[in-house]
Amino acid sequence: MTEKKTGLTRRHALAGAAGLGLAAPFVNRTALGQTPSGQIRVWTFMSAAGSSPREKVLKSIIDDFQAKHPGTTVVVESQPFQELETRYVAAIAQRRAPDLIWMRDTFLSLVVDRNALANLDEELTPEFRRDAIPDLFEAFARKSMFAGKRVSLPLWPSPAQIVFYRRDALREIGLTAPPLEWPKFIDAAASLTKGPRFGFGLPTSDNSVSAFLNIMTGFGPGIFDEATGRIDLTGAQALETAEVVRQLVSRKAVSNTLLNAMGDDIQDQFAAGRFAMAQAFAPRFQQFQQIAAGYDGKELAVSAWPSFGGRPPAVLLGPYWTVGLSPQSQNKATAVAFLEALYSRDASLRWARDAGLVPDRRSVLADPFFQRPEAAVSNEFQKLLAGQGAFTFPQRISDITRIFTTLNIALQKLIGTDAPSRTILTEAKATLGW
Amino acid sequence: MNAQTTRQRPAAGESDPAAAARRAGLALVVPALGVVVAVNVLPAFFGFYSSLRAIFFFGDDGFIGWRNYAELFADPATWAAIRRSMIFTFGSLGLAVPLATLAAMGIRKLGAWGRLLLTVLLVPWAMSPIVVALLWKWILLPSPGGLLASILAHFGIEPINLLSHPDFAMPTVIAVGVWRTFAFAAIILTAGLGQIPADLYRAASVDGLTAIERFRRITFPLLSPSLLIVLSVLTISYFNEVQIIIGLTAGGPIHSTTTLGYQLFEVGFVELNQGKGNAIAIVMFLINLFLIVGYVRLLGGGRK
Amino acid sequence: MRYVTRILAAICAFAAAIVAIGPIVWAVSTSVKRNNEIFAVPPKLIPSSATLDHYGRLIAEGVHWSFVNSAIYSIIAVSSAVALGTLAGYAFVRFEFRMKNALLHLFMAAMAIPSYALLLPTQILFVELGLFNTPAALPILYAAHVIPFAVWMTRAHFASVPIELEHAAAVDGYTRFEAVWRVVLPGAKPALIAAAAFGFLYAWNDYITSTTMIDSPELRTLPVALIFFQGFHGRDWGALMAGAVIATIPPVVLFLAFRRYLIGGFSEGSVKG
Repeated sequence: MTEKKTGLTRRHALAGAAGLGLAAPFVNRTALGQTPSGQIRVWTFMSAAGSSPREKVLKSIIDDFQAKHPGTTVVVESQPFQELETRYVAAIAQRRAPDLIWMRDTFLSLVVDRNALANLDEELTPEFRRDAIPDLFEAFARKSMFAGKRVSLPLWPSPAQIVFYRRDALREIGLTAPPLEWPKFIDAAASLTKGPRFGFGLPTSDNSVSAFLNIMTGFGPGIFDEATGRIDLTGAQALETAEVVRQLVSRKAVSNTLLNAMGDDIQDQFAAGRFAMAQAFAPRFQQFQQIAAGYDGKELAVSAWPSFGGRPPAVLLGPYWTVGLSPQSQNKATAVAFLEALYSRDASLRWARDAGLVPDRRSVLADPFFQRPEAAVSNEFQKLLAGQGAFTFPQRISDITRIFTTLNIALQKLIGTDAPSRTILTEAKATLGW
Repeated sequence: MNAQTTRQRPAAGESDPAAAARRAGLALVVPALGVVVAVNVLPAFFGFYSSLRAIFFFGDDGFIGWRNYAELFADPATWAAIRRSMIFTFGSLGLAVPLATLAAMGIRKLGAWGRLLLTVLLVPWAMSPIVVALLWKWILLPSPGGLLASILAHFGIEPINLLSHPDFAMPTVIAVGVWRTFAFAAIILTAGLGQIPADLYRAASVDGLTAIERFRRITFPLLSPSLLIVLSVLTISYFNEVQIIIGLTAGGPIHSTTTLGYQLFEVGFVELNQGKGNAIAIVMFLINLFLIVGYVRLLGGGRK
Repeated sequence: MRYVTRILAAICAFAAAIVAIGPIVWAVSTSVKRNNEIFAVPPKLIPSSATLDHYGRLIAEGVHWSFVNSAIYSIIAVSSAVALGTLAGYAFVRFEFRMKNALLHLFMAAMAIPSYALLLPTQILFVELGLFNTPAALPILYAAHVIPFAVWMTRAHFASVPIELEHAAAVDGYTRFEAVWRVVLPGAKPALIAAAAFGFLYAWNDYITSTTMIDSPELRTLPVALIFFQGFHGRDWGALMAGAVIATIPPVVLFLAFRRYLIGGFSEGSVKG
């Protein structure tokens, strides 16, 4: 404890000396990991000054919290969304972490292994534990329990990568929604390819998702080995997944040269009318509608993934956001109070009403708002969540920092080369050392 | 520093003007040297130390000797990445330097208009590499709504996936990198051409030399000091380029733009294998050093 | 014949100018389009109704503060780097001292050190020194990157100035410092400006060092702030391009203002180096 203190003082002195010569606008800011009483720091990918619906809701929750607890200040320090976990663990190691951290569920086990998350069961108020915890979506809440400790609270229950489609394009071939079995889906996607437009758009280069895995979810939660957190890359299911990819390409439903598109690229190209259907990140639905230019945004709709062998249509619930508390927080009381405010029934309703999200608290779904047409998107997501084919990632996924990149490289090879599927998948397995 | 120097040579130094000059010279160099050593050299040692350890996601599992390096060099992917770094570096040089030489000659020839042209050419150099990458991604958008795609459509060509086609990705990344840095080469070469006495050309035309002979006998030899500067600065800059690649292709498709620099980003910052990442950094550092020593030799030789 | 080459040169020059400036024109065009027109098919160079919304959003989200940060960091880094580099550059020409050549080579080698490759250890070092995520972090790092270049440029210039000039000034009763300040430095202006321009471009445009060394939004630089518009919701092309346009203005204005010196400065650095 004493050692910790010296470190901080020394750091202060040096930083102070270094900062002396610099301009005044910097003074009075929290540049260092120390939290004055009453103030907490929150790391998220959003900005409190942002203009997206979600950011506005966050701002309103903060404003209300500060009004309700005079003398508290919630400082939002936005970070690049794919770097939150890394930056946070670095900050923990260097004792300058924020009080609250938003992170992806897929990284929970790694961050827990670094002792970087406090046990919330010891911090949350009894009322919250009694009323709010059982009201959260079970599948998400369960994932935050590590060795009997609750390390985070899931935010915005949502399907992650699902299928977006254009109703207008599907009408051309006499369909109202994509077929939910792979063979029929491939037929439909192939007949949707017309001129410069492709039937289906697949991101193949994001490092936190892989279309290969999403297609494979059509085999159900059994694709993950719970003990190892791995998938059988050379098993029959993986090979059949590869076969689906190959057919999509050979029937020209998927471009054979669109080999390293990111989700953002697919999104841009979708807006410009290049695809009839695409893999997309569900929470971006509103954004997709807003930028639609190559078609009418009102025609955009969502679907679960097709499945194999008559299984229920698949929905992979994750990566999703989850919020944790730093064990180093100097102001746990305020941090926990704000954390609870994020999950109040009122906040849940606001996320749904203003940002089109599924509310965190299930009881909020009884609100009359969800009968109204504006709730259509939220209700659609809720249906996907409740579907039989919906499941989350296992708690521990082996090689989480490498699995998606490796699967994407395999996917790129399946799309862009003639190598046998088995060879490609064996290479992927070797890369991961599985 | 002063005190230290005096202590080392106690008797002789006191009133010797040469020693005073030595001290003054050193004293003038030390502030610059201090900053450079503290910020560039110390981390290099620390990086080397880390490269001998197993560090993943900020968790240090201890000393492992040369294992990170052994793994690196046993992996064909590393050699492929080094090869791609060379293709990127020398491909970019091969595109940038001849074009910049032509541009510099044109700029000289066009007089006032040439100076205007040079100013226009400077604009891409003023832009941040990461912003340049995004801007070009936007221009190359392979959709009917993309700028390049719509220009091609006028000629009846369908949208091309320049950034995601294994054959086109590397040339495209090279072209974008050159687009940004071209002005640096052009400005130095324009300056270099300005140093060549016009009399030489006059004499040459009296002698009846053709344009090609004039270039070979006068322009090229007299421009070579400037060319060397351009080559050395750009070689280092291209070899270490990573922001353009991160922004445009993320090393793909199928690793076709994964240079050593990108591999460092991938291993150290995405996979978070920080021990191995540092090993790649040290390898990059050594290759850089090798390149710079080569150029310093060439430049030094050229001066004498 | 001569006439034909002239026309050919003019055509090539025009094409080069289009290639150089065209993408930026497209960026300006995108930055004033409404969201639903950005992806229009076929694309429009001139939007049917222009808007300054995207620029407004940059202000609303505080990007102008990042602009100010970038400016402060760059100016401090470049001015201190040029000052320290000039001292060293002068010393390398006018003084004899031990290890002179070794030190000179060290500066040259430092130009080869890929600052990006050393970011991981540099970050740890800066945390230890208490400099991580402070206003001082980036000026120091940028200065360290620019100093070797400043040494190189100024050394080349001083080597070209005859020592007699200083001797003459000494005869006129100037001290050595005055001689350098009043007689030698004014002549070094092009070299100093060229080094400063090179350094400014580096500091102003850096993304990767800045994103690694800074966590707090208040201390963020412009390129990092812009990348946030390629965020969780996908790429916000309107705001990104508006930001790109704004970020390009200061260096271009500086180029225009100092164009004459730039060419002179670089020619000294290259020919007499």
